[in-house]
Amino acid sequence: MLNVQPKTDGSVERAAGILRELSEEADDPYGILARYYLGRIEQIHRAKPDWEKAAAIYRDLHTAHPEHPIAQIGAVKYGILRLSERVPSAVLSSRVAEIERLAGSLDFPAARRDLNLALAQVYLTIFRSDEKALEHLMVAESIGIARLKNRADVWVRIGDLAASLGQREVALQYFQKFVERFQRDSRTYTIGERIRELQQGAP
Amino acid sequence: MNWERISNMIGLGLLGVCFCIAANRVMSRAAEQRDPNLQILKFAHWQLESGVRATFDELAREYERSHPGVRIEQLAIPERIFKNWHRTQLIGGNAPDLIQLGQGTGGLTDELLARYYTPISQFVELPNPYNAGSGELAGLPWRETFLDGLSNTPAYSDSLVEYYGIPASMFTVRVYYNADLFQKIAGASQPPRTYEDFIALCQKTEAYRTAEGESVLPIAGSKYNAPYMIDALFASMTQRLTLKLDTFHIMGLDGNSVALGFLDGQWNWQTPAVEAGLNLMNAVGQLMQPGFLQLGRDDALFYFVQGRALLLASGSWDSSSIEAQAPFKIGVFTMPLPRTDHSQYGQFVLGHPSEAGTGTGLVFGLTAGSKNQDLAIDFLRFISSQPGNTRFAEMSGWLPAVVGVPPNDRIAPFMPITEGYTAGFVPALSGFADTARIVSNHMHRLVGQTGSVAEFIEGVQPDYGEALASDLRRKAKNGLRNAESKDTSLAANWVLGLEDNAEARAKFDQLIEAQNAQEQSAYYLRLKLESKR
Repeated sequence: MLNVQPKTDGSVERAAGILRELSEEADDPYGILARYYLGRIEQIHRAKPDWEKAAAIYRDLHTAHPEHPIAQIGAVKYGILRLSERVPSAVLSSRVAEIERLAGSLDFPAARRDLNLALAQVYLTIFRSDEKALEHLMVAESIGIARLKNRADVWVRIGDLAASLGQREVALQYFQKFVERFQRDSRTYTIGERIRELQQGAP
Repeated sequence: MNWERISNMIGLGLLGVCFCIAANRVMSRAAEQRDPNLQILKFAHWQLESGVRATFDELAREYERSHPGVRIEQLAIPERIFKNWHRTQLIGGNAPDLIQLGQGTGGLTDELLARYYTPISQFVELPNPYNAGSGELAGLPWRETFLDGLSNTPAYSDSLVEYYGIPASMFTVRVYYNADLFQKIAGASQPPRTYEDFIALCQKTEAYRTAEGESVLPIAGSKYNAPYMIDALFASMTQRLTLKLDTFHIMGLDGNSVALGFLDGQWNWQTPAVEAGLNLMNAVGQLMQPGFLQLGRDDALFYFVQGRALLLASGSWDSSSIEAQAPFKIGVFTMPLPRTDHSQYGQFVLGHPSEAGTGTGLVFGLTAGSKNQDLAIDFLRFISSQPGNTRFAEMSGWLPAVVGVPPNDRIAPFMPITEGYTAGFVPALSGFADTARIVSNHMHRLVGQTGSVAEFIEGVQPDYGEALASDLRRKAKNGLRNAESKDTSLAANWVLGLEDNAEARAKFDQLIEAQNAQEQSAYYLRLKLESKR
C-alpha cells in the first residue's frame, strides 16, 4: 500500500490504520514492526512529514523494547532526524552527546554501525572534527560495512583521516586493505602513492 | 484508355501488391508467435556502429544452432529516439526481453529500474555454465567473471542493492588521428605525448593549411566529441581543487561536495585553477571548425574521415566505424594533458587521470514483462561467457568485458590505463541536469571563434549557483524517494530473516545501510540549501 502508485493521502492513511491496529493488538515482533512503520509513515511516507511525531514514535518504541533489533533500527532513525534538524550549534552539540550515548547502548550490529556512520558524518561536515569522525568510523568498520562501495569509501576515509591525524599505522592498515581489495578503483594508484609516502615517514 | 488511367491502375496495382506482402508478413509473424514450438527472444540496443549488429547477429545464429526452437531477434534502435522508445515500450507493456541500459535510456531512475526490470542478483552469484571449459573462470560466480566485478552502474544499483544487467564491453576515450596526414604535417611517426607537443602539432596543422592551401583543421569538433577533449583539459586543472573540496575524505570526485563547495564560496569562476581550465578549453576550442557546437556526432565523424581534420576525440565504440569509413591509416593516442612540470598549469595538476575504475558497458537488463526470463538469462550467459565475449571482441573490434578475453590489436590502445590519479571536476557536473544546461547554453561564449573566458564567465555566472542548488534539491528529493521505496523490501526481508533465511538477513543489512545513508545525505543537502537562503 505504501509503494503502490499513485501514492495518495488515502492509501497512506489506510496503511497507517492497519499498522495502528496491528500495533495495538500485540506487543510481539509484528506489533513492534508495525509501530516502527508508523514512525516511517510520519517520517517519510506522508506528503507532509512530521519529524516530531516520528521521533516520538521511535523514542517510545526504543524505550519500551531496548533490546529489539527493529526498535534499535528505530533508534537510528531517531538519531538521524535529531542530527539533521536546523538548530543552533549548542543545541546540536547536546544532541550529538545524546545520540552518542544512544549509539553506545545499541547491540544490534546494523543499528550500531549506521548510527556511528551518521555521527561520523556530522563530525566531518558540521563540527569538522577529524578525530571524533575517525573514532565513529572505526566503530562502524569493526562491525562490518555491508555494501562494497560503501566499504571502499569507509576504508579510504579512515586511512585519510588517520594519516592527517598522524596515526600512520592505522592509515597504512586501511590504505593497504583498500589497495588489495579494490584494484579496479580510480583511487587505487593515488592511494598506492600515499602508502609509499607513509612508509617513507611522511605524515 | 489514356495514360493517366494506366498510371493510376499501375499505382493501385503496386499498392495492392504492397498491401498483400505486408498482410502476409503480419499474418505469418502472428502465426510464428503462436507456434508453441518456437520461442522468440528479442533484445534491443542503440549501438548502430559498424560491426556490432553483425556480431550480435552471428552470436544469435550460433545460439539458435545449439538451441533448436529458439529464435533471437535483434532490434537496433537509433540512439536519438532510444530514450522515448524505451519509455513507451516499457509503459505500453510491449518491451523486448532484454534492453540495453545506460546513457541511451536517459535518466534511468531507481524507480524505473525497480518497476520495469527484473533484478538478476540470484543468477550472478552462480557460475556461468558456458564458462565450464574456461579454466580460471569455471566455477566462479558469474559476476566475478567481469573485468569490473559487475560493481558499476547500470549493471549494479548501489541504492537498490541489486544487480540489473550483464555487460558485453567497456569504453574508453582516445584521440584518433589521420596517420597519413600526420606524417605529411609533422614528418614524425610518434603522436604527441605532452600537452606542449599536442599544441605544437595543432599549430603545424594550421601552418600546413596556410602554406598548402588545403582545408585541413587540427581537430574535428561537435557538440558530442568536443567535450571529450575540452572537459578532460578542464578536469586536469581541478584535480587538486577536487581534493580540497573532499568534505567526506573519499579522496575522489563527489559532485555534491563540489556543488556545495561552490555554494559555500570555496571556489568560484575566478579561482585560479578554474580560470586555468577555462583558458585551456578556450585555446583548444579555437582549433576546431567554426560553429562546431551546432554539429552532431556524425558531422564530426564525416569531417574527419573526409580528411578535413587531423584529429578527432571519440570513444572505443567508434573504432570500427572509423576504420571502415576512413580511406587512410588511423592512429590513436591518449589525450595529452598538462603535466606537473608545466610552467603555467603544472601547479593545479596531480597527474594523468586513472582509468582503473572504468566500468563495463553495453549492459543488457531483463525486462520485468519478459515471458522468456529463463531463456533471456541463458542467452546473456552465452554471450558473456569467455568464449562468447572472445567472439564478440574479435568480430566487433570492441573492448571485452570478461576476464581473460584479449582485445584485438586494433582496439588494444583503448584498454584502460590503470596508473593515474583521481580526476578533477568539470563545470557541467555529471548528474546535474540544470547545471549542464546552463553551461551548455553559454559554451559558445568560451569556445566559439570570438569567444573568451571573460565573456563565458559573464554569461554563466548569474545562473550557475541557482542551477547547482536546483540540481541538489532534486537529488535530495530523489534520494528520499529511493529511501522510502525500500521500506516494503526491508519489511519483507526482515520477516524472512526471522525464519533463519541468511540471504534475506544479508539483504536487510545492505538495504538498511543504504536507506540510512540516503536519508542522512538527503537531509544534509536540504539543511545546507536552507542555510543558503
